[in-house]
Amino acid sequence: MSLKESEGIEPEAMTANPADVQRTRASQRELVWWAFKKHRLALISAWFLAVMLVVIALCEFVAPFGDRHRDSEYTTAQPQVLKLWDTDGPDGFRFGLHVDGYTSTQDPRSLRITYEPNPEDRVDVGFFVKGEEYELFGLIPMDRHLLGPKDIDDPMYLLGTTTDGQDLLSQMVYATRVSASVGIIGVLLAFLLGIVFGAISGYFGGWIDNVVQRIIELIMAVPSIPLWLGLAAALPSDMGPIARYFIITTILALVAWTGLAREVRGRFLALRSEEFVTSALLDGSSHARIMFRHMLPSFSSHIIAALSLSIPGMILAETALSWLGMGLRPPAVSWGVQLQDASKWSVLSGAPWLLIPGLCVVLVVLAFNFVGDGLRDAADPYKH
Amino acid sequence: MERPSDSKPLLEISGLHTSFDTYDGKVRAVDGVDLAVHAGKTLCVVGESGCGKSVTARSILRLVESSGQIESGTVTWNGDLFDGTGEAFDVLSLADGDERLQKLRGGDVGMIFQEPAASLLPLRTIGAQLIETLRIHTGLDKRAARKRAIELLDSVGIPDPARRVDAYPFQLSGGMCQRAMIAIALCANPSLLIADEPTTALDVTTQARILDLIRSLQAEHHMAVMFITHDLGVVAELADEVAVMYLGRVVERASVEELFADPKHPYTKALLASVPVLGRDRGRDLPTIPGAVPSPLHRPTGCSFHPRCAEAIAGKCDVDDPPEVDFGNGRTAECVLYETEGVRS
Amino acid sequence: MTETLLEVRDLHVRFPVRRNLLGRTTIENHAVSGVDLALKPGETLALVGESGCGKTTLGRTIVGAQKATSGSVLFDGKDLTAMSGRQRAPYRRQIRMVFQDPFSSLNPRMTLRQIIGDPLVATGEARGSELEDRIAEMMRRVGLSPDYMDRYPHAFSGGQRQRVNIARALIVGPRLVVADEPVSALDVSVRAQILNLLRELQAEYGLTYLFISHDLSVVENLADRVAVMYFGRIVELADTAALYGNPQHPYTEALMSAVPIPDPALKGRGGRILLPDELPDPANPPPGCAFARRCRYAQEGRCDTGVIDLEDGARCVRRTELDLQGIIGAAS
Repeated sequence: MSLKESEGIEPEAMTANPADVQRTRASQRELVWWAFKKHRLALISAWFLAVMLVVIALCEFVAPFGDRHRDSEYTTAQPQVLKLWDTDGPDGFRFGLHVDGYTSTQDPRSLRITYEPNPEDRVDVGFFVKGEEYELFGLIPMDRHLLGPKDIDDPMYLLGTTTDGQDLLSQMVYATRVSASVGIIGVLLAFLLGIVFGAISGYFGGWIDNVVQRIIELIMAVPSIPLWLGLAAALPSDMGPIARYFIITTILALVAWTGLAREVRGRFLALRSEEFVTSALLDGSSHARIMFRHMLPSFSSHIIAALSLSIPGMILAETALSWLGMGLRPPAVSWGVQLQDASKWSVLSGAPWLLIPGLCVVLVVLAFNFVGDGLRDAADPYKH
Repeated sequence: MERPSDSKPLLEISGLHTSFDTYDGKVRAVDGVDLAVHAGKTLCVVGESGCGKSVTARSILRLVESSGQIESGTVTWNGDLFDGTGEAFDVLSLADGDERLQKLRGGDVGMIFQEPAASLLPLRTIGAQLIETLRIHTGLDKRAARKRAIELLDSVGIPDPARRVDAYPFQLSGGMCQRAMIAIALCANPSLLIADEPTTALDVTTQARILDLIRSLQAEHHMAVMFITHDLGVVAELADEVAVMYLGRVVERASVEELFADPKHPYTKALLASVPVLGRDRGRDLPTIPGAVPSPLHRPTGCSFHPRCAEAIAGKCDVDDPPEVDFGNGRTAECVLYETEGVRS
Repeated sequence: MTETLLEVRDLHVRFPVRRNLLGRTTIENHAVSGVDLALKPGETLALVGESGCGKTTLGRTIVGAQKATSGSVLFDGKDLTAMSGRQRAPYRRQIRMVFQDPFSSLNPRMTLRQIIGDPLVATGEARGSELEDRIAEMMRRVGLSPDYMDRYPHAFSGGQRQRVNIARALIVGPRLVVADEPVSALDVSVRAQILNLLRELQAEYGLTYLFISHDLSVVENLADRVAVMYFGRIVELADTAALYGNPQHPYTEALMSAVPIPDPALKGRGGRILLPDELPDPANPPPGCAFARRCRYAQEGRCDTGVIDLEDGARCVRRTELDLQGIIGAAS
């Protein structure tokens, strides 16, 4: 009879291809992951970002020098090339990681001092060298660094130094932590606001929807750049760097949430009329439960994709603000703050390596974009 | 009843294989199909979802979606030979720009689809679409075409055609849209009408009128009809010949009387028994076909129906492809049970 | 005298189509216009009609997914339409709905366990191993192996998904099930399985069904009584045998005549009634009988004026005069 007849026929019993069997059992998350893996560029970018996250976590370990390190002896010095062996030493061929030290020359007319590599001055470089002390994760006291000069007083500046004598590489590592985290935290904040308002607006409709949408439109109608600048300029200039960091992040989030809110609202409006929503209502679920347990997971992949695609905007915004001097300020360091150094052509023409933080921005922004694209394409692998 | 199965068919499909590249792999939607439509007669192609009936119809005019390709087979059109305008040719072998293909599509062969509102352009009036087709195939000037369009709308039973010719599809009901589609399909006096489930989305009373319309137009123009459906009642009403499809193959061919009186293939038999029929099945448990139609991706080994077949022979039906048995006079069944009865073709 | 499980009294459901600037509704669609019904426990009453007749709206109003404009729905004598959401909550378990589309009625992001168990989880009625046992039991009852519990809907066929729908509806132990076209979206060869299943479950659990469908053959197979709806009203209400053998309303006759029968011997039998396409405007219901403009028996002056009541199971002034044709080959 009918109770028995459906039992023996597994969906896979009639399969000729066992690989398809796996697919029928997979959860949505697994399906999205498999689809994502096919996107070469997105996968590479995802690995790149994973490495970046590790760097951020182990900032102090990865950077050769501390964030306050300043070497007034060598300001705006050229990057040194890492070498494995040399033949110029007094003893002939020698094997070992090292960089060439600096000699300084002063241009008689402009009085500008430039530093050039001096092959005879050898600076030994090693892994896990003893360096400045720090606390890993703010808890574990350590003094080992991933890469650095064997003698702590020797100059090892793989990406050169800034006009203040700071090691560009170390500064960049610390800046990565700040810039990336502003982007990520800012976006998470924006999303929290966006999802809640978007969900309420789209689910309930009616006058609630009207009010929320008009507020959103009001915010969106104000040009964002002047809005950031205005809000940032309103901050007292004696505000501590940490407080400033959080306020800037919040300001960026408050402007960015509106775009996502509209998207979420649209999806909720569309989903509202699906029969599984009606069914959940009839089951006695509360509105909140339906919104966040039944409806939101339907497009969680889209949200994650949108998240990833929004982070670049946030990073660029912070970089721009800080570069203009309106965002974070020294001693706090972000890519934007670093780029301030590269503002003057007279400086830049002699020290092009000061632009390298900009390259960092480009790479990270691209990576987030590719990952976001990959996720968005992978988000709906099954069309029923 | 006279069966012209030995005379030349108007359209003959032979060894058709059409497949799609999907996310999950290659789907063989049409897996070796032979069909024939005779002039002035109606062939009904019956089957459920995934059987490939729609894809077969689209393959005839090479209207398969871009993700699919017609891999092999021939579609021989004898229409030009019959009306003396040319030779027989294989539609699938024509070059893309060949004018014979243009003449066929919408001209000698008209086609109507399941969702009329989706097949008509929403931003143009039905008159505009009708006139456009008329002018392509009959070369009439604008004024004459408009006059003819109004005549055509009248002939398909649209009331107040002079006004309706300027209506947009959204202003018409489902039944009206379907009639408009039929008018477009017929405007060049085709010798074959392909109808892909044209009444499935319509109410039963509207369906009755559309079927009646198709029947009368067929009689009037001596038109052949290839009608695709899953409704056995419609088959009984319209068909002269029937082809039953399952998972990309034709499992049985018969005249409509033969099919209902003496179905051969186990799938056909089970289908006829399990569908509730007015007056026959009041209040009783229906015989069922166990399981469900497998997805074309999970095609069973051997005979594709064997997991659900009450008469399957273990060791044979799940291993070997079933033979196609020819009983003569166009009657065939693809089943090992009849191996000894007819001729293996 | 059997008690009445469900009673519908003079139910009206209207949808606003246009509002003026002040928010006042100026044009309304009349979806359900004055429906009276009574269901006895254990019976299957079918609502039959074509698109736009109001059967789905009526079903949804009874279940509580749609608000009635006026009139009442009484369950076990209690007026549901007069209750607030909170008061109505316990009745939600007693009246459940099986939805039409097996594809959009199951949340693609939830496993079968979560879908079937949700009605119990949402109200905290069961949890942990008791929850799992009840889900497994229900799955077995509808013909699904409990091994499938942690899979997702996309792995299953339409027929199996409908079984999930049925399991979800029945897991809370309802007394009345409103089934809205439960087999229409399924493959033809699978419909029989689901119909047989519904029949079995009704006997096993003592369920009462309100079965909504446009398919007359399916209705004849399952229903004890049939209500034919047209344009928001019930135009005929009778026992199945009586309706199919001896219809009393011209629309019923036309409907049955339109159904194609799988018997080629009946081809060209003639006498098929073809209705003109003139559907009335739902925003502007005509006076008298809504079917009059399409009815071959309509008489001016009698059929197009006033209000026509349902008498002796048929809403037709000419019912005693007409001799209408039932389905061929059926015993009356």
